[in-house]
Amino acid sequence: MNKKAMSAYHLTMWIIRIMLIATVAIFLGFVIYLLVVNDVGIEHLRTQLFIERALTSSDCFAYYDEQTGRYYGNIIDETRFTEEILSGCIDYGDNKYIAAKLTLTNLESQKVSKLEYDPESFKKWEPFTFDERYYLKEFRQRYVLIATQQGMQKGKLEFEVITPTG
Amino acid sequence: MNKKAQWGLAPTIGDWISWLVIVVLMIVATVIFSHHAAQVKNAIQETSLNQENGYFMLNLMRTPLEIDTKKGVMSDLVALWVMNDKYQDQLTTQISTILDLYYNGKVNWVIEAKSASRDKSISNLDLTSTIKAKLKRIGTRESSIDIPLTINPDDLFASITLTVYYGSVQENSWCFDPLTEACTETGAGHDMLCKCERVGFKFIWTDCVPCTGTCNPVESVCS
Repeated sequence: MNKKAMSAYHLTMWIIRIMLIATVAIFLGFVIYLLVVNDVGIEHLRTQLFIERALTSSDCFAYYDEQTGRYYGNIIDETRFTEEILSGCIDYGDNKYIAAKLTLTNLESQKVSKLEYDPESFKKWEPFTFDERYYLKEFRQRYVLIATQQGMQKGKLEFEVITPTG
Repeated sequence: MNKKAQWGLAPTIGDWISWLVIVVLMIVATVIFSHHAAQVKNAIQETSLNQENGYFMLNLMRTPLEIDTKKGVMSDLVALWVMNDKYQDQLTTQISTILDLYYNGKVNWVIEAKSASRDKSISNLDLTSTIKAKLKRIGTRESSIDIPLTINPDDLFASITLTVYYGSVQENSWCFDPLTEACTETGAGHDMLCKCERVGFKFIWTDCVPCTGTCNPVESVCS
């Protein structure tokens, strides 16, 4: 091989190598992208889903109107606001994802009802909530209507939710 | 330089260039994708906040109450107010009562209604006085809903927007009820001493200066 040919050969080889490396780098970037997107903190979303399920599921607190045959989300049936109902309608199995304290205040009668979801985990996780890298504690409140024997009444439902991070 | 030396050096430079390309690409990719991840997270939180605001408005509008001794719900009262100012006082009282109970204290709010032929608003704000106060954090909730107006066939729907101001405010944002909101904020940084000025029909915080001393909300001084 003469000098020119050798030089052209090496140049071509290096171009191919650089292209290959660039391809590998882009591939690695794509892998990072997938990891990052999958690693987006979903703790807030987890809390949100817990609240939505508690308030809108027919198995949880949602009020059932016999006249229309419909369940009404965000209207709480006072008789269903119990720990048995809550633990029965939201079940994560062996995976401990959520622990919560719920406080329902009737804004008309000022009656306060409290209940807990997975109180053991709540007690265990709460001391570590100062560090959001491990546990996230969130406070949320909702304006709700409470279906009581006296009719619909105004209410406030406060959630104190702890969820493991990651 | 002989041939061997020439081609012995070239791959070394090539290697360095290749590694540089990899590192630069990975940095760029990480920056781009981290930014994208943050955007995804923000989008999720914004969506859930919008949903919460929607539920808030929905429940507010279906809150039962009495209108002219008849049973009704809040959306009926709002629809009647859109058509007739006679219901303004009752609506103001009802909204204030619910929101003050819900937020455990006095909050300020504005309701704006827009329909094909009407454009009106009410609030519990005092639009006549000029106030000086020190405030900081902002806390607002804005929700919208369309309600039917059944009285007039040419004006079928009104778009209702409720804005609630439940925290203290920041510069160039609206300012209300400063004496109860002032000096409540703690945390990083320092408080701001601002002037509340009327601009059009809004009160807006302006001329904010840092207050590193003790804030006196009544005298509106930082000492």
